Amino acid sequence: MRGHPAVSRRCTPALLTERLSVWWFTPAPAARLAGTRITHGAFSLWYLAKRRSMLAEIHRSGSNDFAPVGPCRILSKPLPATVADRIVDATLVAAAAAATGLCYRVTGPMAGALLTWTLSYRNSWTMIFHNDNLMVLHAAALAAGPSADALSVDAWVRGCRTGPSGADARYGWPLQLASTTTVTTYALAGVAKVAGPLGWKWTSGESLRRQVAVDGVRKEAFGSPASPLAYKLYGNVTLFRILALGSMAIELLGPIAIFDRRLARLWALAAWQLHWGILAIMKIKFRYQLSGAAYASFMDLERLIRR
Amino acid sequence: MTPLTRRLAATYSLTLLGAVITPVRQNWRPKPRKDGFPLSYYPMFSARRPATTTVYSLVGVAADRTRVRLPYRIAGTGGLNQVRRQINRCVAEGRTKELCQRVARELIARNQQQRSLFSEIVSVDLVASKFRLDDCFAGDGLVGEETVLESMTCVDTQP
Repeated sequence: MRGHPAVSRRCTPALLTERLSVWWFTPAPAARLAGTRITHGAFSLWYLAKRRSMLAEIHRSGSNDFAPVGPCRILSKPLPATVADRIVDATLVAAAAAATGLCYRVTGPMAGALLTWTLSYRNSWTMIFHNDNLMVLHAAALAAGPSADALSVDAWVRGCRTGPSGADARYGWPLQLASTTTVTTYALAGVAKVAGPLGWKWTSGESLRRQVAVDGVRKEAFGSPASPLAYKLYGNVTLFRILALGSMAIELLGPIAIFDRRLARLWALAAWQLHWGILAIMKIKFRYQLSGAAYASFMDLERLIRR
Repeated sequence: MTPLTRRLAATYSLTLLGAVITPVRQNWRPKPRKDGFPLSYYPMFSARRPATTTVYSLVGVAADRTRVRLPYRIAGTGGLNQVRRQINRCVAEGRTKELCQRVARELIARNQQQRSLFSEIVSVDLVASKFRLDDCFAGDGLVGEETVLESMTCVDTQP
């Protein structure tokens, strides 16, 4: 792997484990992990605050539409609406505390747990929104590490705003976990296509073209216009083949790119552009990804502070 | 990091990654497959799509028999696809009358609050529309065969 001393030993499982361990615990500055914490926390706060009214309406939906997922499967019926509302409010408070790094050892895991519950509950009304998964998984990754050792209220109280100098493995592994989780989710999406009814023929582009059409028709049927680009591009089968191949490459190559920091950043840029393409052609918003916050763990965010 | 904290970090990481990967098994289970949250096998865009598609949606009918497609917000909340799925579930479970009654009540309430763009609507139809994708995207607009599954009059009983 790049950046590590060449070793002439045979590739045994023990050697592989050692190299993986060295890679996993690559040192990182405290400010980089803190920057990722702030980016994730700020996005979560904005995302939930903007949806507070919508979530309140959902909490008042009929129980016929209730199909609990994740931790909400312990419920046999919806919560009383006011209880669900208060949980959302508690999530907002915890997310704010985690984003600012206030008593993070408690608020970090609390924000992660509440976010998991709130978004699971949101996704328990017959439809699973796959744009919310990564936000929850990243909360789990960040909450497990010392993500508030820098650029936080906790650090300011300790008198060390920018955190300890130098890089340390304890700040690196949560970032590796967040990034690896990211590429894994994309790889799973790629596997689902290849393991699906079309297999590798999915990359011919015809299925993607029809998917774009079905989505557009559904929107139009509910009085919401489809993307004009969908109409313009529908007849271009070759373009859809290129788009299908490109998206499959992004999905399946992430777990390989992750091992080289520069390649991983290029991958993150490609994945981010993929979502802007999906927005342009299908008007489907993966907001966490579109904002770039989903890829914060790939970036050297501490450079923004040094400037 | 001490050896203990490294071991704890490694264990936590493997546990989380293992949990994220586990749903991949769903790909090889017989249908219906179970998708979940936040752990999913991300089946988006993987289904085989035929050349035609059927959409269950709501149409408002005016007194002059003009038909207008009703926005999803009339029938529910949480986004278009969530409401669409809920409508599909109503159809699958035979709750079409209940759905149309709910939509009719919503239209009446909006008319009373004078915030409706559909004040001309006198009845609501739940329709199954079968669309040929190539025809819809050939520039002819939404072209399909429509079947009315349920119909409900929007009657305002308030004086």
